[in-house]
Formats: sequence, C-alpha cells, structure tokens
Amino acid sequence: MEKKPYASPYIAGVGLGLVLLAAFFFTGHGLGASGAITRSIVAVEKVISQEHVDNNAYLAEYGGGDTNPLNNWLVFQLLGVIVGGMLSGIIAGRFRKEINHGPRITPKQRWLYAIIGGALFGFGAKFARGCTSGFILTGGAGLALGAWVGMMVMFAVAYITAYFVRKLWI
Amino acid sequence: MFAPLSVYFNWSNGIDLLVSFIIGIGFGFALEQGGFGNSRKLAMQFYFRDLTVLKVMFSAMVTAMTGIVFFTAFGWLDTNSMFIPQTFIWAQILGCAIMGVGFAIGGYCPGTSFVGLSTLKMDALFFIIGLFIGVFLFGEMFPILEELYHGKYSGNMGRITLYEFLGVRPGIIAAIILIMAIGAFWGSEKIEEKFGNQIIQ
Amino acid sequence: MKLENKQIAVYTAILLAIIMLFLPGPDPSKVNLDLQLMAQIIGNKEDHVTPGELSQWIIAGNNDYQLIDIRSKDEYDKGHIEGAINIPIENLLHKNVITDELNHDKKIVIYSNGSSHASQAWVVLKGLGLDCYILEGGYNGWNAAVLNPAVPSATTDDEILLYAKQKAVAEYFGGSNIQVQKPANNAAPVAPQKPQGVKKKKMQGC
Repeated sequence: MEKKPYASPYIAGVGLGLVLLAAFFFTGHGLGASGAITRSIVAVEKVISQEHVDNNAYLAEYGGGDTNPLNNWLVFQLLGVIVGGMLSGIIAGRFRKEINHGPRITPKQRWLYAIIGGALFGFGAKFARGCTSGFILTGGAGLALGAWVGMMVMFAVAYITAYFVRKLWI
Repeated sequence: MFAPLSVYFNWSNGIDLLVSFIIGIGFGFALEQGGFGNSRKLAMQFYFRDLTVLKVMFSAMVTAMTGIVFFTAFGWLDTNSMFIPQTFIWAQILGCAIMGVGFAIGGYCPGTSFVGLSTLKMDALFFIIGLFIGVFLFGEMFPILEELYHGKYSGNMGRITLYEFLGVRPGIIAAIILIMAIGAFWGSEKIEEKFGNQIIQ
Repeated sequence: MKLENKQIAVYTAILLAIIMLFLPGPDPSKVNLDLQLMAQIIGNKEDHVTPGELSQWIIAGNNDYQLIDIRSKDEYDKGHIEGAINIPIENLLHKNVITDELNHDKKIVIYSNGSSHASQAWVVLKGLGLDCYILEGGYNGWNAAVLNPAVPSATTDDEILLYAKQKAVAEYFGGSNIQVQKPANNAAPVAPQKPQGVKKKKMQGC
C-alpha cells in the first residue's frame, strides 16, 4: 500500500488533546507510558525473587507481598497504545519493517544508540515520576508546576545534546 | 459536579482498566497519525527541520488545558479529584535533564517507542530494551538515590499548580499559555521555512 | 482554503483565551471527601489533639494554630479555653467564614462541650483541605484533665512526675479544684516539656 503522508500536526495534536481530556473526564487520570514499564519489570522481578522486591522500598510499593503490579491502568493503556498505533499504521500504509536512522550511521549502530538513549530515558523518567506523556503532557495540561519547569529543562537539554550527537541523525 | 466519572460514579477497577485500554487506542492512533512512530522525524525537532513535536505537544496540551478550565468553571469537573503530578522540583529537574539526553540520543520517548514498535520500527524495540534497563537500574540503585528521589534533596513542593504558585485564577494562566502557544506555532512555521522545509513525510 | 481554516482556528483560540481570563476558578467551598484518607486518619486518631498537648502549646506560646470554640456565644462567655475564638457551629460552615476567618495556613483545633459537634465539623473542614483537629474530650475533657488533674492512685515515679506537671499546668490555667495533698515522694513541680506537634501521616503517591 502506498504510504500516506502524516496528518497535520495541529489536527493530530488536537486529537491527542481530546483523548487526554477524555482520560481526565472519564478516569480522573491522564496518559502515561513509563509507569507500565516499571510495573512490567517489577512483575518479572517478583517471579524471580519476591524477597528482593519486598526488601527494596521502591519496588515493594509496586509489588510487595500480594500486590500485583500489572493490575493498573497504565499497563492496560499501553496495550491500547500498541493497538491504536497498529491500526493507524495499517490504515495509513505505514505498517512495515523499518529502521529509522540518520544517513551517517548504520542500522546496527542505531540499535546501540537506541539502547543507550532508552536506558537514560528510563532512568530519568523515574526521577521525574513520568515520561513525556505521563508527566509533561498530563502534568502540563493540568498546569502542574513541576511539569512546566521539567518541560523547559528537558527540551533545553535535548537541543543541546542533539548538537553534540548530530552525527546520529543528519 | 460529576467528573471525573470514575470518582463520582464509583467505577470498579475493571471498568477503569477497560476505559484506559480504549483511551490508549485513541492515544496510539493520534500519535501514529502525527508521525511519532518515526524516530528520525522525532529527532529532527532538535535540528529545527521538523517541529512536529512542538506543534503536537502544545496543541494537545492547550486543548486539554482549555477543556479542563472550562469544565471546572462550569462546575462539571472536580480538579481536586483529578490526578495532577506532585512537584518534586530538584528530582524532576534532574530527571527531565537525563530524559532530554536520552531523547536526543535515542530519538524516542516511551509512548512513541511503543507506537514505533506497533508499526514494526525495529529501532523502537531496542529503545524499549534500553527503557527496561534504565528502570531496572533505578530500582537496584534506589537506596542511594532515595534522598534525591523523595527525601530531603528532592524539593518536595506537594501537589502544586502554576496558578496556585502564583496565586491567580487558573483561567489567567491558561489564557497566557494559549496565546504563547499560538505564538510558538507561528514561530515554528517560520523556523521550518528557514531551514528549507525539510519536514519528514 | 487551508489559510482560512488556520485563521478560523487562531481567532477561535484567541477568543477562548479572552473568555478564560474571566472564568472563575475551582470553588473553595466545595468539599472533597477522600473517604479512605479520612478513615485512615480517624482510625489512627490523628484527628485528635489531647488536652495535655494543647495546654503545652498554650503555655509555650505557640502561634501555629488557631483554637476555635464552636459552642454558642452564651456558653463561650461563661467560660472558654485561653486563646480560643468563638465561632458557633452554625456559622462555622458558611462560605465567607471559611474563607475569611479560618486561617488556612495554621493548624485548626476545634472543640465543643463533648466531641460530637466538633467531630461533625471536623469532617467538613477536613474535606475543605484544612489542617483540622478535634480537642479530645472537648471542653469537658479539658476541665477534667487540665484544670483538675486526678491524683494518681498508684505512686510510681512516672505517675508522680506526670501529676506534678499536671498540677503546674493547672495552676497556670487557674484551675479551681487543685488537690493540695503532696505526693508521697516529694517531687517538685517540673516545667512543662517542649510541646510535641501532632504527627501527620505521609500520603502515598500514585
């Protein structure tokens, strides 16, 4: 199928905003993604060693004792994201295997940088209590102080870092 | 006041999970439509060639924000029962800085990486593996990080909004942000033009 | 065509912004009953301040709390705790009293004769987000515990020390029925201890 062009960012943005508003209106919470990752990790750790989870104050909050870390809206919402993304991709002809990378690096190099970027992002997301969707977008819409400050910090640092890693993308 | 519906109509956990799943579908759909499954498109923000991220994020934020302000003013929505992230100012500044580095290197954020995965972008898979590693490391290092995370170095300011912090009505902040967003959109179009309109399609 | 759409969008947005400048914010007198949290606080008795604690605050001259007598004006005039202001319960729950007369930055301690009226008011004030506490035992309990401390039946050192402190406090407040008999071990009255604030339970995040 011919790949269709992406939708206008403003339309996609307003659509996303309405989804976010609906989330607040119906469930009282916003969107999120990194939380589901944390919960999946805790779920795996629980299987390997429940004791380790119980002994760590942070992990215990998610999966100590009988608590099921996967019994949470974040996990189900992320599953929905995968379904929604797939639907949109199929409809728009973008459902195909690809590795997106800058012209100056190879796909394999891209994989390495993706892992490094992901590890940094995951680590940082814990401190911030969320990622761009769960903290910045959700918190930003609710006008939370930390979200707006964080948004400016994140993008400032990203722009600066991007200059130094431009070999990866352009 | 009747919203959030889950609070005022006492939804069971199961309904919350189901509705969240459906909302997730909308979330993923909107992101993919905007092209956020493509890491190169996302990374191009930082080289001023494709400012889709800014346009989408601000449009989404001000749409939801405006809706919240109006619903609250009509007395429909109870913001006290709504989730607003608590502010731990130092922890969040540090976290967002680290995320900024990760974003520029990895080209994704968690939500978009799953959208990428759902349309078979293989580099998204590796970003997700990285996410698991990062989160795992945080858990293991938690005892040393605890004071910075929520202890005395975290800068815990509680659940506080911009309007509470400045002591004004929410509508004032929202109006300023909305006008700023329009300015930002106009500016983005100009910047993209200047860099030759290399928007990734 | 596309340009026109954009113009419509921009004008709509500007219009919405102007409207939002004038919209009212969340209603401060709307009560938010987080029942689970309240149940937890009540179960842990963190909604109470004992007469002993309150007397320490008064003696130490703390000013981080607001003491409110919610009985009628007549009862207040007949006798009230030092430093208490009188807001009868039927006025306490009015919107302007809540915004104008209650200090939202301080601890608020309320008392009635016993505990039932104070408990009712507590639920509402707590739901409004105020840092509110009930004086355990109310005015009756204050009289019994502070103004007329009971002589301990056993005479362990701790109890004698406690009684001596209570006597000192009672004298401070001009209690009428001070039992003059000295305790067996002749312990001298000790100055009141540094006041302990009521501990607040840390709220779990999401």
